[in-house]
Amino acid sequence: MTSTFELVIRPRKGWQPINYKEAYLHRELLGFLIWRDIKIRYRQTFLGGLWAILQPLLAMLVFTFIFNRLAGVRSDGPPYPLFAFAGLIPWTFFSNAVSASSNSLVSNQHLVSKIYFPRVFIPLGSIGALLIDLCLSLVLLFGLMIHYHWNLTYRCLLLPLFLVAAFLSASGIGLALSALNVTYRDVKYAVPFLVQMGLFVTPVIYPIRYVPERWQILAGLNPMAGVVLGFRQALLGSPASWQLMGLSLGISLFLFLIGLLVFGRMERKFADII
Amino acid sequence: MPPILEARNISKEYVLGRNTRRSDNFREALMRSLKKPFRARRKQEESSPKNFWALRDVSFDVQQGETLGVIGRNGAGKSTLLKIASRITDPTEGFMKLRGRLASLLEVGTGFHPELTGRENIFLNGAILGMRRSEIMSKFD
Repeated sequence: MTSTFELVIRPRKGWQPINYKEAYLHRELLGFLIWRDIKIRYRQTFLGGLWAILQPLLAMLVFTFIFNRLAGVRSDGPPYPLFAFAGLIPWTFFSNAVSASSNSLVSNQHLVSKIYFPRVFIPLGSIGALLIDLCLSLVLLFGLMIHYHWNLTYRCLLLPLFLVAAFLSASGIGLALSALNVTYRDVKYAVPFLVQMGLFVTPVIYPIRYVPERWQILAGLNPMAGVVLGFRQALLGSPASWQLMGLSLGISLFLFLIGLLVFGRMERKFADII
Repeated sequence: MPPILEARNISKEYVLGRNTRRSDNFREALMRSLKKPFRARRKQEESSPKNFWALRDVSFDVQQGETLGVIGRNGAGKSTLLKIASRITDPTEGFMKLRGRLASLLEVGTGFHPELTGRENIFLNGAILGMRRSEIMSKFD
């Protein structure tokens, strides 16, 4: 919308990438949208920002009781609550990010159908806002580590890599699903179910060694498997195979590119269909 | 001076009911895309009477300093024209050339969020309209 140069508007056809240059020019808007989402998210709640850490914390307590105490699932070294929490941090981020972003275009349809700006910012903004929650949970994890006398090692320097991978996986899936959700509202009903199933196929509540050796490479096809294993290795020093993680990280990047491609293909129809 | 807005043969076609009948869910869309290669590629078949041209061959120029009013009854295509000029939707045919900044007020207050304060809304809306933070600051006292 802002341009002091000449701008030509013509029909777009086929697979065209999103307008990266324009997105870069509007980058401040992404910051504003993230900030808006953070401001609004916990408005009119009693516990406010506490919800950010309560979600993984309560899940950790329940899983420790059911899977560790009752079902006898063992961790791969650290105390089970730490093990579960370190896995639940990226998983909670991922599941919230996928749910929020896939609904983001439809819930912001007043913006989509009335004002022009780079549309990718809507799903990306809703994911970016959840990174704050993730950071808050990390602080709580450090507290738990002190409580359990579990030391952080130099490996924690790898954490940013896995943070980026978590963001890429969530964004890739979120971008594609948000675009599909504009035409097919089926997405809204499918996502909660798929996310719930995802928790069980990702080694969040059990260590990867519970998966038979020959199936482990299949686990690598899950983008979040590498992220969860990576978080645990970086934070708790859990064992993890780089082969598996490498494959999984590659899949994250691949999904992100696919997501951008699908979004670029579908975005020009959003205002007509939404 | 070249015109600040040039519209040439702008047409916009909407496919009525496509959203509610023809591809309401994944299954039908999937079936359609599977069948697509086997179907004779005929454009005529696609454009049934359900297609509606909101705009057809609209051309005009606006010079700097000019004021142009577009009037018409409900459904004449005034908003569609503005939506194309503000890039919310693509034209089906034709093109537009813009020189300068364009802001459309299709519906005043669209970007406003009731949970934000007035000041916060000003910054958010400024950013949505493509202004930099520094630019908003300079216009806002």
